[in-house]
Amino acid sequence: MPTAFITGGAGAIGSASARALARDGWRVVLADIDGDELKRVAADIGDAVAGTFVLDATDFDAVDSAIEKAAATNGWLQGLVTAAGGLRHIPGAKGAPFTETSPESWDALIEVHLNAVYYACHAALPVFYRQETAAIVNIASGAGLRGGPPHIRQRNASVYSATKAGVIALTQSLAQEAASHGVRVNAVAPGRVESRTKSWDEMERMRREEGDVRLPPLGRFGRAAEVGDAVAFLMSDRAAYITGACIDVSGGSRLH
Amino acid sequence: MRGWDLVLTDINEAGARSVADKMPQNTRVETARMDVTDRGSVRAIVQDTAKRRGAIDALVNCAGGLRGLGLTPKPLAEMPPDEWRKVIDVNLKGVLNVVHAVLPVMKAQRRGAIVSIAASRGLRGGKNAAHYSAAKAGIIVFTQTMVLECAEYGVRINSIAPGNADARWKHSDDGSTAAPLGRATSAEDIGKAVAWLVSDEAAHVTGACIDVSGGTTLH
Repeated sequence: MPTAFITGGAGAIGSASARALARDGWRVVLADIDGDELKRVAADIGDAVAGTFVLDATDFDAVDSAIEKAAATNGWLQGLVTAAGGLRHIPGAKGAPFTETSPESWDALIEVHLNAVYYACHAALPVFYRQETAAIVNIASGAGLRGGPPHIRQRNASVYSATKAGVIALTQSLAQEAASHGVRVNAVAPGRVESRTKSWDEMERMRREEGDVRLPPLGRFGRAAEVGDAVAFLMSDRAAYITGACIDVSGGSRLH
Repeated sequence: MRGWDLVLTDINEAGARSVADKMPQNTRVETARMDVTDRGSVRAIVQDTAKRRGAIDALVNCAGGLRGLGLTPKPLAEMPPDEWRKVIDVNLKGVLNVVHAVLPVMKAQRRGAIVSIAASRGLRGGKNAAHYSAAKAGIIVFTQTMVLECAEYGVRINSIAPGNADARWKHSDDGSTAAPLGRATSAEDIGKAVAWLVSDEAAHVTGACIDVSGGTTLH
């Protein structure tokens, strides 16, 4: 049974990815900064959880040692999903025009959204190279495919969009570097989707109250489970020939 | 889970028949001769299928090709206009013809999923096949554009970009592959991506183009 390491494993997308992978026969190792939520998610997923780590995905050494440890305990690791992200810990990161943001908030955004992906891939790839088969899925964003989506709540997302575009290009580059080792590297670009801080119902309520929210062409926001399904597809043998790709799971938002 | 019922159409019906014969026993499969460049025949077959089966839940546009049409790759300057007309007629207009015929059925039933086979060359272009690359790029952007016309009816539309793949006239493992994953695209690789895109697992995926080239597009 293959084992996957998931950063942001207690978040909406991380936990949905874990559930989809568990459904497909994977064991999952969950890492998250929020220990309480991690415990709840792990208990909910049950037997498929092969380990948990309370860690900050921007702590290079912590991520490195957790991935080494997960590989050692489980024999091998065959998968990595980098789902850590979010804006809630970053003051001034959201809603302000670029000229009103500070270099400190850029640093924080780049650290969480781009460098954290680099840290996890840097730790996992040497493990994967030793075993000559594995898959990585990085969670990017529709904002990385087309900067600053037109919706009012996502305007002023210049640095966030840049970090997510960075994740997509990092994915493409690592795909080429890792291919000869039998390792595939892909990305998923969700649109507006439920998160650990905002449920789908909450998003719907805000949409009704604010009135000006533009829905994706498919007429609704995304479910974390739908992002998890795309992750599980890319991790599976069904995607054995897919590498360097980025699947847009935004209900068509990018094309609005 | 029970699989899909299939209607396999091809300009070569005997070829479609031999594929149908290899399907698992419990698959309900029928075949028809269809030339995607013949709008009248496309319309008739689609309408007949919808009437007899009650619905068309998915459409997969695979008809196309270059060498399969009896043409050889060559620089644009040396290409007779008849060749690019043929390549665009089959590869791009063929997709338009079939989507045009099927979409009213899917709109009426308020569900459906369409997947069209584009190409890695449609994402990035390629040597000695300007017409083919342009037609395949056309499929990708046509697909993106159709998202808005399809979404309100619950219809999803996506494309797939294979690299150097198996074709009916060749096996892709001819040693010429430059794919980072070290082998050429197999037809099964494409089939798996098609099956995923038409499934409910891809319920929030529309307007996407999945690159199934083993990294070739990035090379």
